[in-house]
Amino acid sequence: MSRFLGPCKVMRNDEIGESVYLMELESKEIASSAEPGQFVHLRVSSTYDPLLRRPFSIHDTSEKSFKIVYDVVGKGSRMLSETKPGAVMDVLGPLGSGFEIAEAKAETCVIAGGMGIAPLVFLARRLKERTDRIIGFVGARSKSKLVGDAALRSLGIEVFTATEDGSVGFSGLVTELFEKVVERRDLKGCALFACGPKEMLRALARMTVRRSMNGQVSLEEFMACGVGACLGCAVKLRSGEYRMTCRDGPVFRLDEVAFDG
Amino acid sequence: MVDLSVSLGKLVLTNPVMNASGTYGYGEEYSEYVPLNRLGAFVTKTITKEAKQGNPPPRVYETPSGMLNSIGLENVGVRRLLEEYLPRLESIDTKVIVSVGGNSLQEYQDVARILSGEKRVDGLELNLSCPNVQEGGLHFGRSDQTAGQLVKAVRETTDLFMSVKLSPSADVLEVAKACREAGCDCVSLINTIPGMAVNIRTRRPWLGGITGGLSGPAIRPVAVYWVYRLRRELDISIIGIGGIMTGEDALEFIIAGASAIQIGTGNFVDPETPLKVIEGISRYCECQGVDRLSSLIGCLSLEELPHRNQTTE
Repeated sequence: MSRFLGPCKVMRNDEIGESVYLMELESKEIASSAEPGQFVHLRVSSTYDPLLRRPFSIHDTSEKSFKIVYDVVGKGSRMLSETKPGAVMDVLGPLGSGFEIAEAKAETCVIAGGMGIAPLVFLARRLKERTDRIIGFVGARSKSKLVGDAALRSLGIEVFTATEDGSVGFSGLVTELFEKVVERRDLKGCALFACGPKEMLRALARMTVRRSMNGQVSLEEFMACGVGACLGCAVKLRSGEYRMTCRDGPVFRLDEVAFDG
Repeated sequence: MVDLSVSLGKLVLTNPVMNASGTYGYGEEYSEYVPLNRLGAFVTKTITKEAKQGNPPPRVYETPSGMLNSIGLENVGVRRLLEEYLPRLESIDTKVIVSVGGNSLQEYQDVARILSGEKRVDGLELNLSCPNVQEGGLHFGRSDQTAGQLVKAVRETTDLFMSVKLSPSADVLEVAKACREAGCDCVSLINTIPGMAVNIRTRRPWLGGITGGLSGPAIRPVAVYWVYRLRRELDISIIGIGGIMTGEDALEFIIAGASAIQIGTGNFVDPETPLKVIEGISRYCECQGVDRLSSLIGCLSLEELPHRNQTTE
């Protein structure tokens, strides 16, 4: 496994939705070795507060750069949002085990809730090399926070959107929208890739289990080392065992995760 | 070239920098960034007799200049350590210290006995201070009597180098004294400090284990304080631990009385921290004209300065 550790120059850092940012960083090493679903572990400050690195899914790559998207939720992400192009960030990555792209089928669905869009654009671009029939589902709290739908459409993907306040697209949760479309188009046999808040993935797991569907999900946990050393980012499986989000994931099988604790 | 070698009782290290237990797995995760050969010693994750699953998530939570953890001593158990992980360390030219935890005197003894015949094990660090599980030994480390009994019992099973890892508490000096009398070679100070954080939105603890242990730069002055106190009270080798991020941080501990230091949380922030700490110590010695690092251990000066006549009350 080839991992990079070192400085990466910020090429852009733009607000693309309400308090949602897209940062592009220069790194040939990370861009050339990253797989969809992997993440980078980034120091947002050279001081000790915030102390720990922050994990970000790789949103997309180009020949010599990669992108991350993030929502400003706390001190770390606020500092990150204030970073100007030309600044240099300390980056470790790519880390973790990504999506199994070989599972793409004729019918393939990608489902994003909120910042869950983060790994799915890179994924969709790679999936597109294998199948033409990808359907994207993108949900957010409101229109102002909905991002990534345009990026998916630009790949030639059909995209359904949902907002909790009904300001654009389907009014409700992205999982409710997905359930309706599955029924209408008979997508029970589709390959499924998802990322989003735990509540969304829990709902998705319930809905898919009832239909004997399965898929892959990218999870998020508080993380310290990012490389499997500290055993801090445990996720509980339905078997009762723990796995590490950073090393064994962040991508897991939808039906193996114990979303209900 | 500065001589960085230090002695911890009978254990001689090529340099004073080790990793703290539980922050380096079983030696593989960071080897890409820090060849284990470069460490003065490698310390394993705490091992118990049987494998342990660990605590429910979330297991870590960041706090100002620090972090709380409640890992719960997840580990593979002593048998798998011997069969799977120790053989991988055979080609590595550094000391290997196994951190040992347990729920009973018998368990510590059993693990120590199993490890004492292993040629790849150079020493033991008895964890008497993990705040997160019963097997963490905290109930042994809290009183000088139980700690002394435990060290005596383990000493009967092995001649290996033995350090006891303690948390700061009112009795830590008494506990350390009892451990030394019972035959330990060294004291590792400090383990994490019990701590807690509350999610006010859900009104639940942030950690799955409810409470955890605080580490990182936030606890460094507390750690330096206890190293200083122990050094003045007791003639025993000390491994200083607590929020070390740089060579300068490490030197505070060494000057206060630590013969060696361990890096824990610093590894998570920057995987190259141990190398940078070694470089920083070397550079300081060169600038200060110090040929042997060991001459700095406990060199803290408490002489009154001529101008120090103002009170600070």
